[in-house]
Amino acid sequence: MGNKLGIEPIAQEKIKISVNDVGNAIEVSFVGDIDMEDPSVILDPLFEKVHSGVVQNQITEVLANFKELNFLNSSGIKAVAKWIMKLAMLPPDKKYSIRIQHNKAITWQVTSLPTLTFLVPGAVKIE
Amino acid sequence: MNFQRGWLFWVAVSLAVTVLAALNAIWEVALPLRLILAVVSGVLPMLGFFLFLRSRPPQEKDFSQTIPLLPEYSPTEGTTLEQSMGFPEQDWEAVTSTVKELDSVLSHDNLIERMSRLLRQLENFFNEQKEGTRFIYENVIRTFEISDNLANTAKEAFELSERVQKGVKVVTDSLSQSQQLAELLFSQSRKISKIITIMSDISEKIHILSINASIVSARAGMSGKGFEVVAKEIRNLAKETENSLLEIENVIAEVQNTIQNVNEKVELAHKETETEKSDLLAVAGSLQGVILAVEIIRAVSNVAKEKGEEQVEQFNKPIVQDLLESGGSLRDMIMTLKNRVKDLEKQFATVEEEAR
Repeated sequence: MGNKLGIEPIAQEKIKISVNDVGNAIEVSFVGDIDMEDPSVILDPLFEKVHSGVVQNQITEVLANFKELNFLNSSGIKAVAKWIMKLAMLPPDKKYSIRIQHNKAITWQVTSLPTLTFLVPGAVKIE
Repeated sequence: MNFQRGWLFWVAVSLAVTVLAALNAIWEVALPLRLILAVVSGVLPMLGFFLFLRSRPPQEKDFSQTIPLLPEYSPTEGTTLEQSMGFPEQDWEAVTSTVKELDSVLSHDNLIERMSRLLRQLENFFNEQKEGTRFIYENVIRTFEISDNLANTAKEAFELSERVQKGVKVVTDSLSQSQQLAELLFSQSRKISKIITIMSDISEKIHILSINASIVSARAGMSGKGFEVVAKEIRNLAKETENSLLEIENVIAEVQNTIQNVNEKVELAHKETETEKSDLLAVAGSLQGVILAVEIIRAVSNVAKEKGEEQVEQFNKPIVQDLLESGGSLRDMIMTLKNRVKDLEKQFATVEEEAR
């Protein structure tokens, strides 16, 4: 698929992350488990590339697809929260929206992911 | 009138009064004239003293200690005061009017008072702000600690649920193995049943054979007597075998029933533990969700905490003190300026007086 931001996919032992164009939006998909000791090593640079690319290219929407992510540890969610807080710091005219796609059959997603919407009310939605 | 002339005038008047008083005492004059002489002798010395005071030279004042604002005055013939001081006439007027205006502004006592009041208000405002920031900061720290504690508790609960999950997995695995073993036992008991059926058939055939042997021996008469005994024994043996096989079959049927019961119970337990396992997984998932949610809160409160620390650090710097000191310095400066304007005005007055 690929993406207009030129971000390479990440494939590790238990996790695969890909960035794809979906219409005018950008989709970041996670498949597998994020249970490594320090996932920020891979997640922070990825989210930084997505964030700066989206701002520079004036993309208005990002889809964060967690539907096939079976496990996420606390360091992993910290990296996600850090990315969303970057969005909060943007001036209103540069803000983009994040749509979090979650799997209702995975309990931790139901319990934790809606909390992310409170970080930037209105700009982060869950579906 | 200069000083010397004024002094001489005063001496002359004093002498005249003394002479008049002496005449008044010596001569017998009419009463109205005596009254006039008395008034004149009283008023004239006062008038003379007044003129003396007016004719005194001005006191020397050292303005070098205040502000050397004015150029040295040296009047020349045919020039005005302003021209001789080097100012164009319009500028001079502007300067004097500005000085007067400045004096009126600075003389306004409310200015200092208002400034002091504003400084006090500012101090109160900053103190309130500082207290407010400290309050927010302390609450953020508390939130951070609570979320930290909550995250740790949720983590412990998650680990506990993981351990229980592992335990339940061992139980379900054991039950699953028991179920398989029971099925194996059941199938083996069926095999035994089949063998018993075969053995029962054999026994029946032996029984039939023994009956046939008895018939054959009866036909043989006396010579077949011994064979008859053997046939009878074989018949008895076949019957006992048949009875034993029947008994075994009953026991095996009971064993099979028991196995089936055990199997049903194991299956039920397996189903129950499977349900428990999925419930436990849901609990673990919820706890993991709580951990993650708390982690998000912790990330946010950490940002707020850092910001609060920064704010408190800023307030801890003596901003208020600096501000108050600056205000005090400003007030002193105004006071100095006010004094200097007064000095300046005096200088103007002196210069103007000298020019006249």
